[in-house]
Amino acid sequence: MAPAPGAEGMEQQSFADVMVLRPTGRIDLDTTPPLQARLLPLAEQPGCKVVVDFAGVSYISSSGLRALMLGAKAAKGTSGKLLVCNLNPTVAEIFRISRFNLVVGVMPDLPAALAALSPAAAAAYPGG
Amino acid sequence: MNDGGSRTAGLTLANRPEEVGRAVAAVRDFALAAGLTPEAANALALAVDEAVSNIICHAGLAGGEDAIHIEAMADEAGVAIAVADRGAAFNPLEQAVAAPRGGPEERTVGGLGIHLMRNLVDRLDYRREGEWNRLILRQDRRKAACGAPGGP
Repeated sequence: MAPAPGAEGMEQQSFADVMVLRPTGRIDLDTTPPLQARLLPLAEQPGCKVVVDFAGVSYISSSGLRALMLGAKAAKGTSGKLLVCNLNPTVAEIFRISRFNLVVGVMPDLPAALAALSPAAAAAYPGG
Repeated sequence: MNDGGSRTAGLTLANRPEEVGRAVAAVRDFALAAGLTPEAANALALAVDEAVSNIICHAGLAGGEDAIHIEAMADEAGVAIAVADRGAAFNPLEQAVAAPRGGPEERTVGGLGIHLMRNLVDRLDYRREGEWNRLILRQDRRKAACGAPGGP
């Protein structure tokens, strides 16, 4: 399925019943609002299954972590699930310091994230 | 950042969120040029992100092109970045910030930036000088790339 561009150029793509967001560059005070604007409506859907793919993200500050936290709270409140994947070493270190693995599930890559959420999504992934 | 060939450099920022990225890039470049490892330089730049973001969000500064001053200094011990602003007096070192723990239902919104700052650099110092807040973030040199600050 061809990816649809999200707000501020952020890619958003669905694999069966899982929605994948692909922010790029820095997630900081300036660039967090577009991510949050895309993430929260998805996370507030009952039973949502959302992955934020960090493959294109260079780093995330506390502003971005707050957006993820709000997304995780929203998903938990609607019996949904939020995962992240493809953290680079810098982002992984931020997660480690913040113990954010306790807030959102961290998966090594997108196929693993899709498989954790939905067999249909895993099957829909090219090569899956 | 204009360094004139010496081991010091300066940068002024406007009180706008989009200035954070400029500060981060400049600090990272200065730290790498000064010989810090990429991991140490990244961590220092991220800490500066948190410091600058905190000022923009909470210092109550008026808009202006020279609202935040950044001074970078390098010596044999490492790199120090001074972040100065004329906002309300605020010492991040005196803020009681609980260590993050628990799942999303247990987390609060505030305090994470200060926690990150404290854990990304080797030393933080604060001074109130007249009407200026002055936060100094120091990152030591490491003999070899050994992962993130505080790591093995």
